[in-house]
Amino acid sequence: MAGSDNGPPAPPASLSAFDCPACGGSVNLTARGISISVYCTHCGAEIDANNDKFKVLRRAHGLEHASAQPLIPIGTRGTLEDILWEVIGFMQRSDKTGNWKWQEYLLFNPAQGFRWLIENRGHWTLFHKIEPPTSLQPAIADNLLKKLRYNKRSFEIFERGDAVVRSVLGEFYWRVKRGDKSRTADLISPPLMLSHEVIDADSGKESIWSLGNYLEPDIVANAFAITATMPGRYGPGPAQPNTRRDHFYFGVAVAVLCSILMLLGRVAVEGLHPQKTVYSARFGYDNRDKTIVGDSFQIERDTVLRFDVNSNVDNRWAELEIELVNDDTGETRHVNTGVESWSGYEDGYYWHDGSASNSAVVSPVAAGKWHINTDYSVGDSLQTAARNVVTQIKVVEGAYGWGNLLLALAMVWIPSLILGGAARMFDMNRWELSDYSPYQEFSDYFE
Amino acid sequence: MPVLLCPACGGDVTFRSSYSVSAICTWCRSLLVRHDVDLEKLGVEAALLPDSSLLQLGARGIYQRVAFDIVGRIIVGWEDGRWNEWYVSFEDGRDGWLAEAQGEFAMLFTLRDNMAIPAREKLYLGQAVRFAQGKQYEITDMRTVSCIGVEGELPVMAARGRAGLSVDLVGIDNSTLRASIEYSDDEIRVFAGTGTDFNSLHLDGLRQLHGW
Repeated sequence: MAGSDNGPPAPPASLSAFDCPACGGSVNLTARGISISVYCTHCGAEIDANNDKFKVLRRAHGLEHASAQPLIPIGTRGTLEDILWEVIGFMQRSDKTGNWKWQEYLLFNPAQGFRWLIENRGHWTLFHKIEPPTSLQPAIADNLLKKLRYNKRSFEIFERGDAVVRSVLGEFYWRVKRGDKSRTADLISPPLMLSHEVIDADSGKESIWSLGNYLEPDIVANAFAITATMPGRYGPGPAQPNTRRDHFYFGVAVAVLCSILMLLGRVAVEGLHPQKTVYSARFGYDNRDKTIVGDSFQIERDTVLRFDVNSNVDNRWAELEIELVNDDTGETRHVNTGVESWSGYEDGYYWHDGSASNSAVVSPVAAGKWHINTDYSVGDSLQTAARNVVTQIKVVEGAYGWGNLLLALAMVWIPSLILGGAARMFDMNRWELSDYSPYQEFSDYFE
Repeated sequence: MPVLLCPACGGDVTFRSSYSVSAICTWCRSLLVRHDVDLEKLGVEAALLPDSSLLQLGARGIYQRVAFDIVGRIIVGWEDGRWNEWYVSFEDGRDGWLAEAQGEFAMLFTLRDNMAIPAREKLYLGQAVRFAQGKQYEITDMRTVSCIGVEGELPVMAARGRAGLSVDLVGIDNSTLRASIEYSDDEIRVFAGTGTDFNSLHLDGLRQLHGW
């Protein structure tokens, strides 16, 4: 095999080279017996290579030859998909207007045949010819064709258009000419693309199907030892795989796993240490403005205590200043809580403000013997004293709130949501160039 | 496997396929026709045009688990190109044609039974044709062809210049199935088989192509 392992493969002595009858320059002929038209890389003349005739069919006129020089020169060799290819032909094509151009490289290997390496807006796709994937009318003619199933994948129509040959260099296995027109349709299933082309040849309409695979630019650059700057990629390519989506799926998998573990942990904790009321007391009007010392209660293991306050306040308020005291160590914690309820009628409408129940949390509370000292006060109204107000307090252990768990869940899920958004943005940007975008309604909204 | 002597130069001429009726002497390129144990010289064939094919006479391969030898070749030319029809002889006594065109391969077998074939004038692209165990095919290509080179042994008198109409067909529900009909002045030949590829053929004894 030509080429050493050090550096790029050296351009080989061509299988056959002949002198261009128009300019005398040496012209490669690698796919001998298959290539029938060769465009001289020096002067651009079209030479008939069928059966070794080597006659000039047409010379290049004016600036025709100066246009588009290939990034990968004719004769360059490179390895793609474990096969050594030689660039034998180059074609620049455009849409009908000529405003949007793309580059096509014809690759040849004597055993494996041909491939087409297409560069479009900086994106590279490697195509090989396939048998028609459908017995339906060609996708071009049938404008209703939106989807196609091939090799167990679903392909969606991305683009239909025209392709016009703008410039040609090197060998071709058909009589290609500048100006040749064809109708094209591309369907995508990233990283794959199905391409259909209908050519109006003298012998009738020819229909060609090919399957393409998206290649990262550095793969192409390394394969062909391209030292020049690779063309920058414009937006996502139609067949470019959405790696953000893969990251999103991974993120979701991690988030689901973490969520399950956290919820299981929480269930275990709730099961092992269920909520229990360890102390309760009632305060009436007579208990006001005094410090009431409560009975001691036992906490078996380190826990979180919640103080639940309930009252029948009606246009009154009640406040509790609580001291939580450890009988043995004297450690003291302070909790202030209160309830209030206000209501009335204004302009015939009933209004209500405040809440007759409230909670406060003390965390963490060590195991041991504790009691509470309560300073209770109630609010009189202007007219009457709050004689009927009764306030109940319950001290509940094992009262783990949901706040921490929700925060942890959010922290675990927010990256996935961000990745999901990014993946969707990628896909929407991808479809922006298509007339068949499934996001059409979205873009219409903004126009 | 009979080995006969070329009447022109005395060189060995082998016949591996029991269907072969002619051979081109590898030594002097005389076109020889086989009469039992004798060979009669009909003419001399010019040297073949060089190409980039890796296949050559004497190469071996495997198709659907049966080994074959490449024993002959016809180069078929048309207005805008040419391709190789390699004549192969199978281990089990069958013969076949390995078509090599623009890097694509197909193995076809001569259908030697009589069958209903559409008349040449009635053919059109896309036409459905049924033969070979009732399988349905669709015409994908029709072109005027002529023989522009021969080598090795052949089951036909493939003289250079022999022209005809070559029709390619593909299975309607199965694009792997291929068929071919060849119309010439004196006869119609029908072939059926499948598409295949270089890797699947496990070829051996290939030509050393300069630079590859």
